[in-house]
Amino acid sequence: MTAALDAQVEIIKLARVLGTEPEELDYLRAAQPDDLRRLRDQVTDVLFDGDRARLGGFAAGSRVIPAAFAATVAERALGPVLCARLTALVEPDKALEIAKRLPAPFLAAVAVEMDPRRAKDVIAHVPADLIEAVAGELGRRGEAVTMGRFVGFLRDPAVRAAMKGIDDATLLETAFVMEGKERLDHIMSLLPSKRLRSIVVAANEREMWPETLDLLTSVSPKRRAALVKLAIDEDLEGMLPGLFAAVEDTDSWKTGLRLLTELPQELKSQLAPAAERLDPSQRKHALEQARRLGLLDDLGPIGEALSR
Amino acid sequence: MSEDDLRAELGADPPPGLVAQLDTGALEHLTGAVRAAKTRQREALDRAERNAVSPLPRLVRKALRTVLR
Repeated sequence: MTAALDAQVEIIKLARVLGTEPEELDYLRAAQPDDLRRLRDQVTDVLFDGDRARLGGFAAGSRVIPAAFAATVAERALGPVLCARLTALVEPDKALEIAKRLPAPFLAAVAVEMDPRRAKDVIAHVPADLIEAVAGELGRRGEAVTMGRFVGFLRDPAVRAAMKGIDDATLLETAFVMEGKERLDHIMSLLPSKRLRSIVVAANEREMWPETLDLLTSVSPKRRAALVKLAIDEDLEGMLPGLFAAVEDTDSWKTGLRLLTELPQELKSQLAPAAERLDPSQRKHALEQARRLGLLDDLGPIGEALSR
Repeated sequence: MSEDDLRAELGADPPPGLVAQLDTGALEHLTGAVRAAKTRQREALDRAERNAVSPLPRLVRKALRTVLR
């Protein structure tokens, strides 16, 4: 991920924790992503640890009542906010038994209010079918940020199930904001090629260029080439101008052009006609950037197309 | 509001690099946002606690609150 996109994502996540809109935090745009991440952790800690002692009584009560009864009380009386805090305080096995008895919409509401770092032992053992249902519910609610916080705590079968439960655009949004991007390449490897194709098409149709640029920078060169190949096969004309626009917006020319230089020669040749059809001003600007960064020769046929 | 106010809200030292690049207005907004989030959180928990015990008779409610705290 580029520093600008990283900061953008961190602001989205910090805004979520603070219960405000990302635009309200525009003044943080120039901040270092690591600083923003640290600040978000500090805010989360102060929100979640402040009431720990206060909730001890509820947590102790859960130990002595049967899971089925606890689930009824949780849903009918405690509600999602309280349950989210209690999940971290209840014995993981007991919390899991209670969770299995709760409906997906309620668990989705709990997930929104939860800090997954505090309940990782519970999350890691939630059955895949329940994960799929909860992910579907979160997807319908537009809770990509929530899902992005949980991905890192799920095992492969659960990740597969979660991805099955959400649509392509939500999956891209979740990948954009997920914690632990270093796992993204592996996660993409869990998807069948048919799904990858439909994600690429959705990215183009919805013009999700920052998300796509981020995905391409976060995966391995081999997977990146496979995704670009899918876009070429689908004849997605909007992809290259869209990605160049995202690169311009985030001032990520070095990263963006380097991604293209790393593509196999065959794909560069296949992308060249799209580069030639770019809007003249966009083509000129891309050419200037490629020259400035000394990447023009490495772009091969794409560079030649930009020069025409 | 100053860096000290933000530190007090967070209960920890805010990232120095971040604070250094914020002007007074931005620092004030950020500190206010953290404070507002804490207040909302406290109110949400108060509400959830009230709802949790509201179906019970008043005397039992009072006793239960004492036990739970």
